[in-house]
Amino acid sequence: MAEQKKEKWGIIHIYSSYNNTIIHATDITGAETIARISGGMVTRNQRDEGSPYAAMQAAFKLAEVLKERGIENIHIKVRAPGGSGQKNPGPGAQAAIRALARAGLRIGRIEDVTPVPHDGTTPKKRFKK
Amino acid sequence: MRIAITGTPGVGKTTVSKILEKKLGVRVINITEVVKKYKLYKEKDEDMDSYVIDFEKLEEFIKNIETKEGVVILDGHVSHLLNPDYTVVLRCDPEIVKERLEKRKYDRKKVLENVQAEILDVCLCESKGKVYEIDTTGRDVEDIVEEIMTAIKFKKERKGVADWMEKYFNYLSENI
Ligand SMILES: Nc1ncnc2c1ncn2[C@@H]1O[C@H](COP(=O)(O)OP(=O)(O)O)[C@@H](O)[C@H]1O
Ligand SMILES: [Mg+2]
Repeated sequence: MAEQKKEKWGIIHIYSSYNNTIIHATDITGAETIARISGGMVTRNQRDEGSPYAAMQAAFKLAEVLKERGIENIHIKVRAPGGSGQKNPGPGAQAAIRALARAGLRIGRIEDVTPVPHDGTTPKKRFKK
Repeated sequence: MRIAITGTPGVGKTTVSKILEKKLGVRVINITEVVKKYKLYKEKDEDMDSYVIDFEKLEEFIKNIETKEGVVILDGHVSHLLNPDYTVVLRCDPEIVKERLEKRKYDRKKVLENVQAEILDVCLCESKGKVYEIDTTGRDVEDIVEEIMTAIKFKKERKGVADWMEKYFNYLSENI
């Protein structure tokens, strides 16, 4: 029973930089990597790796792998700078989240854990918008 | 007129800004310094060991100087958020950034968060308008300054010169 519960939920980490998107799925504990797909794996041209389209394709591919593993529910952790007024995640991450939902996965918590550059001063508190 | 020199802490902004100040005869505002000195912050985040910037107060401070000077250079990792007319984004290999920040005695969390920010192109992604990006890795300061002066003179635009994510993914998956 405990084994099953562990199987049904996974964590998806979305990393979205200027040039690329990496989507990384782990089990609920975070210890085991289930799959990792990058924009470069689903596009032909290097310049498209960071595009929302590539993010979407990577997300769909990852969703298939998760469903094959019997994982239907996911929490999402987003690391994606940019987006309008730095409040929303960048377009790559948004496209990936939409694709995961459309692929039929049930989405639990979505957390923005985008790192904040800081020295003695910071533009905002850690992990808060 | 505001020119922003931005980038993750440790990439070399202040080093470059000091030389630009001399060569261009333009006043440089070191943002971290003025925020601390004139208390342009709301509170201190103890976890981050960092003052949370009060952007309204900072904007007022900058405007005063800009009015007097005409042109100012903003040196800092939030400079691109202060409505600059032109932005230069400095990049540096994340492992070099890591070494430099460790030398500053930042704690493990602070080093890692900045390294991750560099890998994820945070400052570049947040920059708007005319942006010119430079990878400073392995380059002489004088050389970088020359490139910046040319870029500013001709308002050159360029983005997408650094691509750290695949190479340094291991740092991204570490927990802060
Ligand atoms: N082009 C460069 N080559 C070698 N060392 C550099 C270069 N630029 C900066 N440094 C060194 O890196 C450290 C961090 O530079 P600094 O200008 O303080 O970074 P920032 O202002 O972006 O936080 C300093 O010790 C500086 O001497
Ligand atoms: Mg500095």
